[in-house]
Amino acid sequence: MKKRILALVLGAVMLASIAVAFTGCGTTANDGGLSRIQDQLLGEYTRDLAGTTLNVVNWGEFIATGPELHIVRAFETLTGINVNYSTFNTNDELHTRLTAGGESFDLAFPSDYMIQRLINEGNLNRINFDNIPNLEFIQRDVHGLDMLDLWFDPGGLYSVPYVWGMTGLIYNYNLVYEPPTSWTALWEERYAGQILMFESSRDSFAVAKFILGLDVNSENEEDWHAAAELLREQAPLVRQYVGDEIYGIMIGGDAALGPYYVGCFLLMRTLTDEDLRFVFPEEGVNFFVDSMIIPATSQNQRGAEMFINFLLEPAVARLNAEAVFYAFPHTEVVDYEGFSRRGDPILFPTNLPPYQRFVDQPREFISLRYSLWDEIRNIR
Amino acid sequence: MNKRKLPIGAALLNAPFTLWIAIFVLAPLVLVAYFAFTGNDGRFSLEWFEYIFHPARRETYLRMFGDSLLYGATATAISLLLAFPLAHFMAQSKPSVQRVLMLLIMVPMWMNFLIATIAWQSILEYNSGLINNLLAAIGLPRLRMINTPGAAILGMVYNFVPFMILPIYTVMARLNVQLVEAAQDLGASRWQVLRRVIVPLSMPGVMSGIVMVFVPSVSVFFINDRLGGVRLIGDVINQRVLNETNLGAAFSLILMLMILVCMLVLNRMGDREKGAFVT
Repeated sequence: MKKRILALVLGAVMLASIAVAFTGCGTTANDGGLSRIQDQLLGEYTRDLAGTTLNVVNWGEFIATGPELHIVRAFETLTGINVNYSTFNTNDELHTRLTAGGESFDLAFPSDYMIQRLINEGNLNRINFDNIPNLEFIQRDVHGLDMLDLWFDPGGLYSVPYVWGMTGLIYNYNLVYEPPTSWTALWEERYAGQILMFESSRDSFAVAKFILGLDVNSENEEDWHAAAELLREQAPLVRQYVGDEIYGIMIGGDAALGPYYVGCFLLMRTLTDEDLRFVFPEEGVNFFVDSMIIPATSQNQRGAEMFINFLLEPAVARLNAEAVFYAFPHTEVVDYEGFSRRGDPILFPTNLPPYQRFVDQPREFISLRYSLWDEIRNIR
Repeated sequence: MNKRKLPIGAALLNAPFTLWIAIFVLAPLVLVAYFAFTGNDGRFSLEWFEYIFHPARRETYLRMFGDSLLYGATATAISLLLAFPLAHFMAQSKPSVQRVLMLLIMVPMWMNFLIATIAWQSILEYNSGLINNLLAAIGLPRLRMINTPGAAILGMVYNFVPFMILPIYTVMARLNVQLVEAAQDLGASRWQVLRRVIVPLSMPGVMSGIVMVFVPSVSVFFINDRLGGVRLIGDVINQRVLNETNLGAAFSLILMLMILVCMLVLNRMGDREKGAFVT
């Protein structure tokens, strides 16, 4: 008798899982939504690379995967290339994976200063822009910055900008005494245990340096010790040092305020009923660009260039910009009337707040920052 | 010296395992030591150890190593307190109950520890956490549990307690019941039976349980970063090895040596207890 019941239960579970599997197939388009945009594509996508593999590594939540358009699947359907897509969490992790051997990538999306380091180390390939005619859509003037001639890659030989953004202070309106306007809110005793801080030491030190009015790229040891002293004072008040786990904590209303990146805030805001708000603190913020690069170990450079061109297709970029909550330096996104975040005051502020940009640093300063950071992180 | 020559067949059978040990245990150890003693210029150097024990940093890193050992030891002690009675109970149960309990212990291990840790974070959260919402619902004040040492140790115990239960249970299940009966016949109380018969005979299981919980608890990363407050050595290694592989190797080597010393001390204690040391 018992066995019969068990068999019935197991049978039901199996039937249910089959049903789920089938409905799964029914709702997702197999072509990733390619048919919806195929007639709007400007570039020519030959199938002579069909069957080859393209290894792509990107930040999490950094490409459209929704029902409207699943970019990777659409590109696979279009070209027959098999895209092997993976994600990374920090620039340092990506650097290790790109240079340690064992893995080989054809396309990656690191941030500005890391691209500079990779160029200096000779770890990047020059991009053949003949294969990327859609480069014409890249903005040449974002608040005075030529997106094809950026500080970390003069002349734009090795990289194509994907998104740009800034850091800022996220706060829960119902948990703060008054809306903060300064980074020093992260040092206020009354928020003790409700404060989040960057786990990334590069970003945390930048916050301290904004307050002190110092250069974030300073090559003066005293500047780093001064910033460390400020971070030491803050440590007992900090609830947690965070990366992307800030999503869960802010969404749940479990902390009052914390610094993070503008796009993450915009995404976060759509996921919660909490009254989350964002401010560019008056002392200044970090301005960053995440770009597409082709590592020197690439086995499929032309496939990577084809993928870059596909991402820059106006029809693709528009849908991508709806899914990724950052600013795409793409004329057909920024000027597109139907773009839901067009002119968003946080994403596209009319005037940029005071800002500093990261550049790559000599090894000894990276090492100094890490050891100071270890010490700060062990304060209770 | 009693050197026995293995028959050729046995030697052949052992070859795969010997090879495995050489490639995946010895070689990595040698590599860690090699990296730890190699400078940026590729030559032999003590610079990484000088870096760690530099007067400006020594205090920080020694405290981190100390905290790691302390957290690990606490997690191990709690695991032992939980596991011993449970293993005893399991060993005495009907076979069908034993199977169910075994399954219940194993199932959480099928879940990746990263996911389990993130789940613990959402259970322990202050505002949105499950426990605090229950407390609030019945009118009790919310407790600050997340980002405390207790939360980190809870995470370690949760993840590693099966490694304590299983070896103790295995030993207890094979324990000769006649020895217990003999003790009872000779007038031993239940307490005396436990103290004089069951505990000493379970020592091999206890010892390997301690090793299997202590070692991963001391070196674990992520759990403390997410649930605990201060940084421990596992997360330092995890972060440093990305940028300065050789420095990460030096940290690793020191940690291994410290664990080795702890194991030797434990082994001594185990010998005194006349229990065989099983790893």
